[in-house]
Amino acid sequence: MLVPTLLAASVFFYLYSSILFAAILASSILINFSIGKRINLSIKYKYHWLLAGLFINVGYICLFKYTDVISGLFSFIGNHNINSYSLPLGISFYSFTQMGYLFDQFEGEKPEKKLINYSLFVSFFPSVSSGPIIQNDDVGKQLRQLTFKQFNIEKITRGFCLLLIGLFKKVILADSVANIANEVYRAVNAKVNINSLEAWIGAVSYSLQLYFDFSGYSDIAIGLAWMIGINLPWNFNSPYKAVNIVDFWRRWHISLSNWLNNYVFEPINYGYTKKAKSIPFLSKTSGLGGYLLGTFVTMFLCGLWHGATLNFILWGLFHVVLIFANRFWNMFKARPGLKSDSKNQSSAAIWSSRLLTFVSVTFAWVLFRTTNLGSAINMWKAMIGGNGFYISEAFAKRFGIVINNPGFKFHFTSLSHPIFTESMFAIAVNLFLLLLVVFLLPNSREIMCNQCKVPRSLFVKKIAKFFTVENGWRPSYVWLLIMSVMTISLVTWNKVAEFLYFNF
Amino acid sequence: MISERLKSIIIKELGLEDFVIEQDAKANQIPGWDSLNHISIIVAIEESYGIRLPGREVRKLENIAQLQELINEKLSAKNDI
Repeated sequence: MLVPTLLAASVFFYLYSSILFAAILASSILINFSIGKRINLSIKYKYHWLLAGLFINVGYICLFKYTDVISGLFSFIGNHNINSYSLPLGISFYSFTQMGYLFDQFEGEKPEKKLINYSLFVSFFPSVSSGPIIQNDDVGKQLRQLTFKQFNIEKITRGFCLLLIGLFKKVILADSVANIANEVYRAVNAKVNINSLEAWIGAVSYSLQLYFDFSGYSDIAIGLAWMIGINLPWNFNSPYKAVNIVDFWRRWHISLSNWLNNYVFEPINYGYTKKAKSIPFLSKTSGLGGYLLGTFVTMFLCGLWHGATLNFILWGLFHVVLIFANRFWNMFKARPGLKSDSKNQSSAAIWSSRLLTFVSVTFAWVLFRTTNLGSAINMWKAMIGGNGFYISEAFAKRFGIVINNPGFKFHFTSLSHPIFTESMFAIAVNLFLLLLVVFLLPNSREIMCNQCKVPRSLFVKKIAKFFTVENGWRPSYVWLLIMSVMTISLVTWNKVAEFLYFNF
Repeated sequence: MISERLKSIIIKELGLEDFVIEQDAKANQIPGWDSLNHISIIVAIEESYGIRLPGREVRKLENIAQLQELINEKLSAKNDI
């Protein structure tokens, strides 16, 4: 009875967004379920059925996400008057979930026999709208095997706590910086020349907003699923603590990066490496060639997944450059005769790496937030001081520094046209506290996940002990206080929250 | 039990000298086994043994010993055909 009940709940959740979108989801489920069976049963046409399935799923995404771009491409043969369709809730996520299912069928996984089980797997309400992207042999299997005996008050309490943490991150933390980011980017898009301080405040605010927004939503989804007795995969693992860009992609939107790795990067890498090994002048570098080609295509598609604008594609390519730079740097460090002790890096080296990675990622996020490349260039120019490095008037007067003298290529400037509605002190405190959270505090997974083998630094272990989670999360008076504070904050917050990743 | 054949394939692909692969070794404990070299190692194993190691099965492996078991399983299946 649980599967039909959960399916009914998922259908109700999705119908709430739109009956039309629910019909689109239903058609997608029916088509993919049928194709999955065909792939599994067919020997001669397995590959053809897989291609057909991928084509249909990509077609669904293109129809609703990329209509403007496609109609623009065909505009040379006349006016088509194709309207942009509203984006069905979660179409990128459930399409990718189903494409993963088809790939797994192609590689020999047993198909789901019952349509009702498959429908629940795809439409499961905690994850259908914004992920995580799930797999049938993990979450699908859990859903099929779920019984009432698995409900217990401990899981419900733990799930509710994680849900509350997610809501707090999304509604309070993300939104506390959203306004700051919006003010800066509004100025940039309007071609107002902002100084370096304003630019960095905006850029860092957006980096924080995006993280708290999306990771907050993922916590809500995982917490809600826990309350039902289902374990969804974790989607974030303190990405801004990453020591290089490859480490970043192991920590940010993990379900998407795993999907791209399993179904795009590895197959391309494998195909190229196998072919190149038989070609004499390519065989020695077959591994490197496969890696570079796989990375390029993967990150290009990653950018495209987020949107079909030039900015998103360039964002993906920006990360290609960062990954290539990291790879070549590692190859340089590993040269024979060059001593390196990468396993025993000093604290200073680790924090320098983290800062460099955070700065690189923040530069890339500018493409995500700006409406066009011109605005992104304006923002980058401001960040590197092209419109003036910020300096306070008092400091300049004290040290005799000339300000507002654009005669030089790089000059100093004060806040002559403050673009923030909040005071600079309030902004500084806000950003400082949030940076403390992302760089120093344990993340949701480290706090809440009792089954995860989470490596914990000494500092995180001390924090865990303070919050009584050193042996795994348990209800306690400390957590009663924390949850009460979070609830009061949420109830008294008077702004409407925006979910950034619903746009994908 | 990790065979000497598998060990020599891994050592050759990674260009290691005087490295001993322990029976409980994991991929990330072997110097140079990362995303750059992972596929090269898998392709080398497939070519050496004449088998196919599907990606979804390789991803579930936790250590080299389990990789050896997967190779043995594919070899048995190949001999049974």
